[in-house]
Amino acid sequence: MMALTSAATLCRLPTMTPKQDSPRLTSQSLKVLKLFVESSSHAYSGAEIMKVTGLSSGTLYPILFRFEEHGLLESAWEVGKAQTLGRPRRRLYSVTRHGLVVARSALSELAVPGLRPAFGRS
Amino acid sequence: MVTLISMVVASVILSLVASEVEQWFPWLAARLVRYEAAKLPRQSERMTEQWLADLDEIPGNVGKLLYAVLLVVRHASLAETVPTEEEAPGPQIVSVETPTISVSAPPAWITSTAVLNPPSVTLTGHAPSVLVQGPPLSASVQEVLRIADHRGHPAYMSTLVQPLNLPLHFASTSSSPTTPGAN
Repeated sequence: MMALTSAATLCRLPTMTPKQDSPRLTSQSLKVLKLFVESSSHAYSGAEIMKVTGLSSGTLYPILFRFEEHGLLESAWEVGKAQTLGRPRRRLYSVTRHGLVVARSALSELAVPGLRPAFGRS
Repeated sequence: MVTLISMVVASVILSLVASEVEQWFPWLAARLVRYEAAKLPRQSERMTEQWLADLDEIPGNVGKLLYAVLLVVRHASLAETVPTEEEAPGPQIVSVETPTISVSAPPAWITSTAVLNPPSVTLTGHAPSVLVQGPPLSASVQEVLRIADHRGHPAYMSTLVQPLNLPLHFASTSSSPTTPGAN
């Protein structure tokens, strides 16, 4: 183990860039983005997102997959093992910084009914 | 009169049958979820566990069945968009030396190399507990650390560096740093 005494600046290399082109945004996917914009520090399971957005499983998951692939959302297993929890582990989705930028931009450009009041903080 | 009695008996029997059938919905939903996950071109194991966890959260037997049926119905869309497999190893710290920290990562990782140069921040201490002090980090620094954290791989730095003057926790295999600069 070596000492980490250093004065430093991190440099960003080209290979650090994820697949960050924006996916097609529909009114349904905007509902999902809106949820994450409103509480960007919170991580949601698929069932929670379905409950809040009213989207069905068959509609929601392709959206989540697409967002994850484009770096707007990221997901991780909840802490703990299934045996300990006594149920299957939940996969929790959270928004990335890139996702927040894209979401706020998209929501501000599009007049989505019921969505506009939610992002006055950008 | 006979007709009326027949109707009552029939409705009772039907309600009993419906109730009995509904008890099977969660089982059927789990079977459908496993079936759909198995048909995906990748990530079958992950989706099985993830969707079973969703089923566990959804109240009501009918709701569970509907959840599973709609996944099966949208198979083509799911199969097309399901994310690529997770990279097996997280980024590993391959060298830590003053004033450079190099991080090795698979090509698909967003973080491949992080180089620390003077004089914006100071790292003091030893892994796995390092104190970062200095002016606010650049956006790229914060992103590197955050991505490493949220990807679910506790392989690099597991604490966000915002604000500064907080301890950074290296939860990685950094105990065996090798080949300085070999990246």
